[in-house]
Amino acid sequence: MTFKRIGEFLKGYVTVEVRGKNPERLINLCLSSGFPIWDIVRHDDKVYFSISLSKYREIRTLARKSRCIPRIRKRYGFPFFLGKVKKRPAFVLSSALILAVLFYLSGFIWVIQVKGNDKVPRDLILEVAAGEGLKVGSRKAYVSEKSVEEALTLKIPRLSWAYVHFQGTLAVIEVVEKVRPEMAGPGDVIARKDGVVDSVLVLSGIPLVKPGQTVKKGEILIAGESGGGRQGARGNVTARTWYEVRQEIPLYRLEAVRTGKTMEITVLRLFGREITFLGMKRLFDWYEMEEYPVKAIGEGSRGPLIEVLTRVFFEVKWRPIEFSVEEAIAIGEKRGRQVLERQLPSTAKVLGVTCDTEVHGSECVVVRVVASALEEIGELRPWPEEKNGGW
Amino acid sequence: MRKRVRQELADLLELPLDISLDLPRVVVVGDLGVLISNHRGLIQYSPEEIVIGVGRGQISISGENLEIEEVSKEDMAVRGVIKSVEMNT
Repeated sequence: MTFKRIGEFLKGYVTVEVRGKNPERLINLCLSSGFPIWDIVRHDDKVYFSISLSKYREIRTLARKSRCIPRIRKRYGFPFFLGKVKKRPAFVLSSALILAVLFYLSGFIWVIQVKGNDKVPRDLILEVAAGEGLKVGSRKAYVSEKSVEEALTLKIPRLSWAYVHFQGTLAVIEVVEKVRPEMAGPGDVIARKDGVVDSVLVLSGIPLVKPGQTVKKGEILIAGESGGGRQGARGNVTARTWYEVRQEIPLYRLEAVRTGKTMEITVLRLFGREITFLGMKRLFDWYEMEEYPVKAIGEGSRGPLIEVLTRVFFEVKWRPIEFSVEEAIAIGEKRGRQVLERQLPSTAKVLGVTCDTEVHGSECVVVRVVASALEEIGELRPWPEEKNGGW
Repeated sequence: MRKRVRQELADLLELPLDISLDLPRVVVVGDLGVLISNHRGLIQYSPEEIVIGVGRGQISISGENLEIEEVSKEDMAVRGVIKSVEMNT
């Protein structure tokens, strides 16, 4: 059936077989009567053509005129389909029933999908939703998306947003959980380290220290109100703190001096493994080593694949070199300051650095570098679980 | 004589000849089909030859497996393997 035949299909058409001596005459008669015909095919003495159903009734008289016998061979189109359907009322009824049942069942919720929850358990969300009527088996028409959304955000405080929508028989609950800043629960502000309190800024809670007071590490600086309000302490406590570094600097250092004795061996390195040949294996007690490549073949990921090299060992002796006390102090101070710099937190404000030294005979010098700094020493220590109300 | 007058008149007025002189218009689509406008009816039909009456004579189409795809009062579409289209006046 081509596209232009759709109209004919709706109205219905038939393929007619014509027997007779002069079927051409019948065709011409049809044409002169204004009946369009198509798909005219001849097989031996029979001619087949298609004509619309309404016109077929009229060609009988024309056929008599042209002495042909028309017979319907095939029927196409909607009217014939309708005729078939009329003969099978059970079929029509059952298909209508199936459609109705499908339509009725599509009004129910079959599956509930929960999206976006990470810490809030799925069962809890489903339970709250069920409380508002959204559960598997309930009718969509009786479920108010808005009230489910409201119930979810009200009854589960850890949810900040909920969205309920239906996709056919699937109910989708989309939620977004509240993201708490990475902060410990309510508690007291305690001292992170020893120091002398410089200033106390209380945002909530009861301050237990005053400026000028010396505090020990772990001492409570600001207490939270654990009574009725279960209000945790918040606040900043700056204090003067001290950092001390001791550096022991010996008054001499050892230096390696080559004695002039050398030893040379040839090494073959194959795929990273070394084979030593040509030369003694026994080495000096202390030595320095130098390598000279002789030949390298191939290129691997970790250097050449095959390599021949000469290794030269130089015997060394240790010789002490003496420092002056001033030199040693300068070295000690420099090292001490470097170590201190690493120890000081980046937030601390350095107030001053002092150095003092002790000379222990001709052996060594001890340098003590002390830095005083101003820094925040308050640290929140959360209360045990039962105290903070299961936050 | 009348024909000549009509043709001259058509030439003068630059009218299409097929309309003014009641002549057929034949369109041949490769060897796949023939479209004939302004025909006068089917004279003979077999899968090898179709003879169609036109204003001044006949047109005979010969070929293989010829079918009349569509026919109306004015137009006729023939489908099949077309071998020749002949005009007999």
